Amino acid sequence: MNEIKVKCLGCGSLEKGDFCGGCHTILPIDHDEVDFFQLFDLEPRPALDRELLDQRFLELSRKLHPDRHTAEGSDLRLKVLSISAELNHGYRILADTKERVRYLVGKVTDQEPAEAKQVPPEMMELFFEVHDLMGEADAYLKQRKPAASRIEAALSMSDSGRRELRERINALRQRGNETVARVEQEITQLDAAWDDSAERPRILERLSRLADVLSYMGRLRGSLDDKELKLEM
Amino acid sequence: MSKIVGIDLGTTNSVVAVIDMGLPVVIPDAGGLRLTPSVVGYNDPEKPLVGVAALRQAALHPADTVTSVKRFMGRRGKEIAGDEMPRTYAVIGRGDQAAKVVAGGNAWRPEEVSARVLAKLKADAEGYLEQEVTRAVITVPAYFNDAQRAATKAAGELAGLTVERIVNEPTAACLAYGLDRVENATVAVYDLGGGTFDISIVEIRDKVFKVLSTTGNTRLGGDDFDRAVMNWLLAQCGTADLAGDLVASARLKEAAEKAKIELSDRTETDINIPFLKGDFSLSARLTRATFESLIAARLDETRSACLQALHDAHLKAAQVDTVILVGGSTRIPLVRGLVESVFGRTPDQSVNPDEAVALGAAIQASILQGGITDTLLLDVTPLSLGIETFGGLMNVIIPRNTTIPTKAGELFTTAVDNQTAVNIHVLQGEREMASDNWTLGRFSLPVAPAPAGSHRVGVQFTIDTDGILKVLARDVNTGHELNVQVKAVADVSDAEVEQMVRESVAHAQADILKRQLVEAQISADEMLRATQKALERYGDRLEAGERKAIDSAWNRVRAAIDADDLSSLKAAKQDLDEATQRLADLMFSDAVQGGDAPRR
Repeated sequence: MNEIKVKCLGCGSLEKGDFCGGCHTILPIDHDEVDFFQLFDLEPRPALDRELLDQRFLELSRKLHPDRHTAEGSDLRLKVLSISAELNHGYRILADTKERVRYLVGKVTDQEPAEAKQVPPEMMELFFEVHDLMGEADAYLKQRKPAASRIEAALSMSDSGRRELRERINALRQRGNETVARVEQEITQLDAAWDDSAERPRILERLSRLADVLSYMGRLRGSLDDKELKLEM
Repeated sequence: MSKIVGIDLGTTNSVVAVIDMGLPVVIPDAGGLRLTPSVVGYNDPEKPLVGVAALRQAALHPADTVTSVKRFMGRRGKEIAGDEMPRTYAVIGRGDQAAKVVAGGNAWRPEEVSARVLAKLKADAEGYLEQEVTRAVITVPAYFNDAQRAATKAAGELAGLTVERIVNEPTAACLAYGLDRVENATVAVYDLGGGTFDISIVEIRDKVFKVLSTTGNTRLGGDDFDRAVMNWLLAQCGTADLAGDLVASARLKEAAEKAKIELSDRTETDINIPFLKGDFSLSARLTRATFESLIAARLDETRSACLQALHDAHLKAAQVDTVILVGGSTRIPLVRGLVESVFGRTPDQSVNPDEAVALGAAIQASILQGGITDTLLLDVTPLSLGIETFGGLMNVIIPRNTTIPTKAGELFTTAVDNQTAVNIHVLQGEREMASDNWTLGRFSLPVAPAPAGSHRVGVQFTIDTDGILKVLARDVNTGHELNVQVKAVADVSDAEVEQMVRESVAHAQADILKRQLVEAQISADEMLRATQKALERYGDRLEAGERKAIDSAWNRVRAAIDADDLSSLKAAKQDLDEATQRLADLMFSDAVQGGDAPRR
């Protein structure tokens, strides 16, 4: 354990270790790795109280943001910058279900879960449909030119091909949203069984698969959104 | 300790503000002016004029007066497109060389010009506060990239200021809006200034201002609208040959800007420029409707950006509680209409569009100084940061809209035996291919010769609270820190600069006109094709007279394209645009009602 006492940036008390017992902020020590669950004082488990995470993020930001420590020496200011960067990074990971689940699996199993190289089977159909639609949208966008005059803009507005593409994009997005909702629901169910150690290996395996589904869903939604924006523009 | 001032270093005007007795206030100059024109006159390079004094002599010495220099801050020669070149002074720099502006027979770095404006604001603040001012918070467009931010910081330092923070303009404006409000809210800041456009979505919660998303265009603003009016005015000049006449260009620009401003309150304005060229005096009437048709296409780009920002924030327009307008160009009625149509609500008008950014910068200054303690700003990086990987693709390390400060680490290794260096190409942007993104810089990490893959170099990318990248590298095998110099622009010799200054004076105007002609011909051709298609589908719903007017305008555009004459082509296009107005309206209303547009 670390024997050196350090001045806490949050409340000013002298503490040792990684966290200040008084105000629960991270201490300005060089870290190889920060435990994000610990940083936000949350239990490392599949489900997460998003409202609580947001609240803790704001609290910690108030204490740790570089703006709060402008009067410190330059060494300490560099450390504050680094800790603040860690805080922002941790928030981004925990706030995103896919990233959080992968981070949790990585922590518990002590190895980074490999990203899926193949489309998860339950998404195959949706994946191909999106792929085909994207091809059609690209072909449509390619023949369309940016409107430099009112008459060109009017011509593209009245185009029925565009409206049809947008409707199909919306329908696929709706199906994607349903898939994501199902995954979120299953994660909540897995969370209920999390404390049963006999179940743990099965849960971890399943969480990795669900993270894969979310990862592919993210990409699909990204391309749908991107094309929809381009069609709207 | 000296007071930190907040400075809005704008394209057209700059403003300095400070917190006085707990309230942010704008500091006027000795003459009582609150806005300082961001203009520097180099007619006497030994004694450059700044602000109003420089603006006054602009029409007399157009080639020696630098306006809108912000557009060229931190940019490379090759990044500046022909239609972006100023009409009255020259910009030089080839390829990867840093762009410089030419005035008073010298080439100046844009940050040197900006430093003149900052130095004046510093002096004004010192006069007002009766103390030395050495520290400042300076604002930049949210969509500024790494080099543009670094150049702004350098300008501050050249002016003798320690730049305590670079703050994004829309975020600063949001601070000014929200400082005294206690309620939580989601705010959209639509910031359309003289040269740049930003849209930011900010969540205010318990006095923490957290930016959810930001996007924009650093090459879109009031200058472009002035330019559109200028082109229209040129078309009204008929046969008068104004090519290469800088004084005439400067007078047209002045008249265009004045007309634009007047059309914010009136529906039409008369433009009179006596003896513009020899005996020729220009006299024209510009209606608001025509003005709107001139700027509609460019303005529509901001609609796309708003949609993108909402999408990135994972919000629907209806979830935004307030929309605030910042920047002088938001006085244009068409802009307000566009914002209303995107967000479905009337914009809040409680902030002063010219001063909110500087006031916000002063608030941030006070936060840094420990004066305001209950408010905190969490901003984001506007552009994704990545590196070029195998196959010329960009691998994103830090996605756009990540809260700053932030950091990310990457491990690099050697690909061939006895490789002595690992070369890294750092990029900013959202495109898939590395070459489509903006090169932030390149650096090279030296490694000891060894078999391929046996050496590992860890690189840490940190984006600080100014949104500026810092790179640290460590040889994993030896544990040694490596010195990293990210090189963003190519070096250029003094002799080369001199040569370019000479050439720019000789050719600039002719080159610009040639490029403009080609661009106008291409866009006219597209307009003809669109009109033809529209007529095929909707022609039968027009009256005979309307049809005849369109046909005749169509033929005139066709003839003007072949005639290689810019001014007649622009006039003909304008006529066709007016002749097809009802046709376009017919099609728009059909499309909005939905469904029953005739199919091909």
